[in-house]
Amino acid sequence: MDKPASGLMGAVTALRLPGREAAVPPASVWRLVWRRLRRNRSAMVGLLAVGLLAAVALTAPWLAPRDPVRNDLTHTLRPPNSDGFLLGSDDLGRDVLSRVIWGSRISLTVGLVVQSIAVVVGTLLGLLAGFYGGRADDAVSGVTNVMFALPRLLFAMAIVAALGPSLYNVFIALGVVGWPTLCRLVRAETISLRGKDFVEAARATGATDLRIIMRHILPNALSPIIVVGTLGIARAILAEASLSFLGLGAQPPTPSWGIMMSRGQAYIWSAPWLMLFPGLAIFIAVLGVNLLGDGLRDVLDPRVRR
Amino acid sequence: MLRYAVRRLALAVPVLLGITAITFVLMWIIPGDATQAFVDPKVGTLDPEVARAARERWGLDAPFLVQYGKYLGNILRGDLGYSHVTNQSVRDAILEVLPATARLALTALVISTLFGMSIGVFTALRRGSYLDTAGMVVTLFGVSIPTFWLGLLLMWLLAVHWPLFPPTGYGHGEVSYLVLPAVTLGLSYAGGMARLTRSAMLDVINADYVRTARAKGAGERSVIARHALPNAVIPVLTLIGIDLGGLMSGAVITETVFSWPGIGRLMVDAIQQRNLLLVQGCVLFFGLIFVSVNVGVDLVYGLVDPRIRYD
Amino acid sequence: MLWPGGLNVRHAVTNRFVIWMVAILVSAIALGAIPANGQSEKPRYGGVYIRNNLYSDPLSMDPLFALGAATVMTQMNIYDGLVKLDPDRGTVVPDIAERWTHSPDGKTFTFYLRKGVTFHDGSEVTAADFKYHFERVANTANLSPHMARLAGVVGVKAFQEKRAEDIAGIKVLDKYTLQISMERPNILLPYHLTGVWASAVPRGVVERLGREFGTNPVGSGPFMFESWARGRELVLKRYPHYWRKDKWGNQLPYLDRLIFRLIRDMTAVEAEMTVGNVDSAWISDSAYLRYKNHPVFKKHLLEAPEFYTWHIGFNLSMSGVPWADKRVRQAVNHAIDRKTIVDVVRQGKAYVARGILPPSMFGADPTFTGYVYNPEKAKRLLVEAGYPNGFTAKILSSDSQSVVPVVEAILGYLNAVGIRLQYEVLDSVTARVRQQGGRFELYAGSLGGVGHLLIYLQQGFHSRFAGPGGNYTRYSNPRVDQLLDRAAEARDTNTMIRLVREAERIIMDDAPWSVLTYTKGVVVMQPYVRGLRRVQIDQDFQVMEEAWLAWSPRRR
Repeated sequence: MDKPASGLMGAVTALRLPGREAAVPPASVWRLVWRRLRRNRSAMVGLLAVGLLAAVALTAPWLAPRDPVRNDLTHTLRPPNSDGFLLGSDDLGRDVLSRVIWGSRISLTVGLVVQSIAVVVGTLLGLLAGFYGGRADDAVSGVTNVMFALPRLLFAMAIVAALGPSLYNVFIALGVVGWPTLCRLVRAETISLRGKDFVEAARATGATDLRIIMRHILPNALSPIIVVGTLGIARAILAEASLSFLGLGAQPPTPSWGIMMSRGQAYIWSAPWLMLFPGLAIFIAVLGVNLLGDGLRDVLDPRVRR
Repeated sequence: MLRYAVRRLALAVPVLLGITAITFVLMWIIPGDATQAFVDPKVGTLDPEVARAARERWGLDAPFLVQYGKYLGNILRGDLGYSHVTNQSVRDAILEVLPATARLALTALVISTLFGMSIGVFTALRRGSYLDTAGMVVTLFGVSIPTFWLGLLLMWLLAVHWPLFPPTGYGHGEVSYLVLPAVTLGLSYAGGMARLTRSAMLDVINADYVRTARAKGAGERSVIARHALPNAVIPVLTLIGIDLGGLMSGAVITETVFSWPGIGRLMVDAIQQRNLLLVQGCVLFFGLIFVSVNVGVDLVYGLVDPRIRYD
Repeated sequence: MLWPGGLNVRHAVTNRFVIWMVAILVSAIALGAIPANGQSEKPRYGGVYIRNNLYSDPLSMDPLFALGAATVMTQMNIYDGLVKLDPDRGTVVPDIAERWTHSPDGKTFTFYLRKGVTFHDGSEVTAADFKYHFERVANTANLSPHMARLAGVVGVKAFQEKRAEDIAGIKVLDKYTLQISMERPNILLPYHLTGVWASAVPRGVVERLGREFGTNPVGSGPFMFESWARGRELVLKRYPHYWRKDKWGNQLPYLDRLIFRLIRDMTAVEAEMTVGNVDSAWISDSAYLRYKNHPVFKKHLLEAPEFYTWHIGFNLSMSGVPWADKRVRQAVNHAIDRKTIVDVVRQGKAYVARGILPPSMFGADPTFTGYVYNPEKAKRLLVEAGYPNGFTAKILSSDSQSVVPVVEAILGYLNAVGIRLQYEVLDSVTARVRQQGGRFELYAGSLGGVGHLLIYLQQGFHSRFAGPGGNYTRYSNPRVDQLLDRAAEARDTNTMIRLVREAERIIMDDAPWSVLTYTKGVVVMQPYVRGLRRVQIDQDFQVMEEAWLAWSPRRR
């Protein structure tokens, strides 16, 4: 909750795409995108990290050497590389490595689900506000302004307190808090796109509003959505860690990276590995997602000279 | 110009109304009411007699709309509420933490803007080089590290291992107490600031008017300083606008780690005590800051870019 | 060289010179001329003492609102009351009242005040000041959290309902004599009056300042109020005319100033301790682990069993659930290995609980054995009760670091006998509200904070307290109620203790709780700190009037 919306806002204002004026881009465009992405070094690194994260998350049951929630009270607080604990054990004797591995599932799920909610809701409302303008726009803008003005912490706490502390409610809370940014972005894009010639042309041929939005505006607004959505995944992962730090996230004994960080905090002077490894995992995941998002932006921005 | 400003200000009122309504609803939903102030946190028991008397006195049993209406009426009269236990009005409680909050927020903002913008400009100008990648990694560092980690790390490094600064507290306002929390908070935001500045600079650097300036023979440095930078600043301003409110309320974690007596912490304590009036006071405060800063930013926008004025 | 010719032991022992030296040495130690241990060091006056235990802001400096650790631990240095709790044994001992009598019918207490005790403004403390303050507390207009504490006093109801001008049962017999009459015979009144809320306040000052008294307090305690920066620190200074003296006849307190700093984050507290910016602090489990092995600090830890019992509570107002059957609850009691939890999970910073009452409490039964760790017996009991395959249930607790690892460990133990629990961690206020409201199946939490065994049991198990008052499980056993009521009206302490112990046995058999641990309060001090005592009820409530610094540290 302490992180700014900065990366996303950067995309908001920087991503006007005057070059793209066609209708739905043909498949060859995506192949072009992929080729250009391949040449961007940091994006590849990011993709690698994200791929690694996904792989670990998918193979967790087989990859993790031990049961992540089984207590072993005879081997508590072992330092890394002792007693068969590669990354050490925590205050209940649980294997840090296994918990970090299983924790990737939670973080990945949080990132994807939260951003999906934010993207879907934000895009819908943004399209609505941008396309129709007038009262719809005032209403949606008013709501987004209110959402921006509210302390996000209070909001998340209240939602979780009201619905009960569970991972699913964290999804809802973070999703609710995350859609305004995307909504603003999509609204700005829609506004700039609706005045374009091809939209006029489509209207002249009698296309309905829905068709115009779905076949002409949305596809062209897609790239900033992709970029911002990707960057938002990183933010969601961090937000889960912060919420867990405040006791509002996943419930024990679930091994989420956020919970591990908050529990490890008490042992920061005596058993620093409890905080170090989940912290590193968060860092690598967030770094990877951010690099990938940056790469996508560089690739999809036509004004970049190569 | 004036009409534009007035119109922007007028839009602020529904926003403020909206946040008070939502806050009221949220506090209503959260389990526990203001009678929790009479509970010893370590023991956890609540004397039913005392709770009954308090509910009666404070009208906590009235239906939602009645309570909300009463509250709105008080707000409009300027009465934000009063705690008879601490003998402080909500207004005084907020004013008391204002200096500390402002010092932390503004210093952090300056640090993050300075750091962020310099790195952003630097990497934009050296796009594609190794320095660019290095800069990007450093900023990603900033964006990816949880604040409390950074705070505790800095505390250990600069206050315990090498005792250069006091670990926690406000002292009597000496600068030495401000350094660690401000640097922690500032660096947390610097990463985002840097990335935003970089992309804004990239947009601007290849724009037509910049190429024109170059073609006219102006030196690179003056091109950057006189043409590119001022226009790149616009999105940064927007960000500052949105983030300032976030900075204040989001500084909770920094304030907790360093025991900095700021308003973020005040609000969290108020939520924990289920002190609806104090929570509302804080929320209104954030809302006011947010709204005024955004109006200010919009005005600057309007001054700088005439196209935006005819919204 | 003591003697020429080298060391020959047998020779040495019979050497008369040596015998004389030893004799002199022994008598010197016996007479206290040479300190055999730190206790005989003579206290030094002076010094500024910085304490840290404030994790939150005190509410007010007015005893009306003496609630919560932060408020109480600061206020107790500013004020004195009629009586107080002896920190070592937890019994009621004289404070401003040098003695008191209890009438034969058990309904009336008469307190005889010392003469010459003064407030910080110089005026003398009289019985009238106490009557004035007690009426302030009971006055519903002041909305004090303690307003119901004087409920049993004659005339309180009439006073609160504005039918009387004052409380008839509180009489000022003369300048130094206060008499309090209760409706029914009551043995607990002196205990209740040890609370900081019952301190003496100067009537004139309070009437003059009104609400401002909360930020400009005047009491009769060892320290005077100097300043208070909310959210930061509270500063007290020595009261030069304090009435108490130490055992050598020197006037207390020794310290010049006492500063309470607000430090919210427990890990930051450790940092401040290392740097030397605080002089003493209450520490958490993980910090205890570190300090126990620290070369310097391990010699400066003050440990004491505190009066809090951590336990699992079952919601007894639910029907048709497995734990409605006593055998299931007893099974849970047998399934948990408390010793391992204390040693491993709590890092040794707790005591294994056998009964409800901490054995260190005055009157508690030291021979009580409780439930032994026996998972086989637990499984058998479950089968008997009709749950051979166990069952599922939900358990909630606060997010406190003292309880979450414990519950996670318990999840493992109960899983082993077939009970699968779903854990809900809530912020402390929500957890507390759910417990108060009875909206839980099982909870893990603590109850305590009182130093009297009868009240300890009452608040947890008397049906009168069912609900937010402390009996969250809604336990109701008429026999227990009867025993506790009779204990409250007992005329002598031994009868009261006997009745309470009998009640405890019944309660433990009914097992509305599965007791887990008692709290161990640990305070770490800087090496130059002296004079702190083990405070049983809660180590936060340190008695600072006898504290002193062996040398003044260099502070940055």
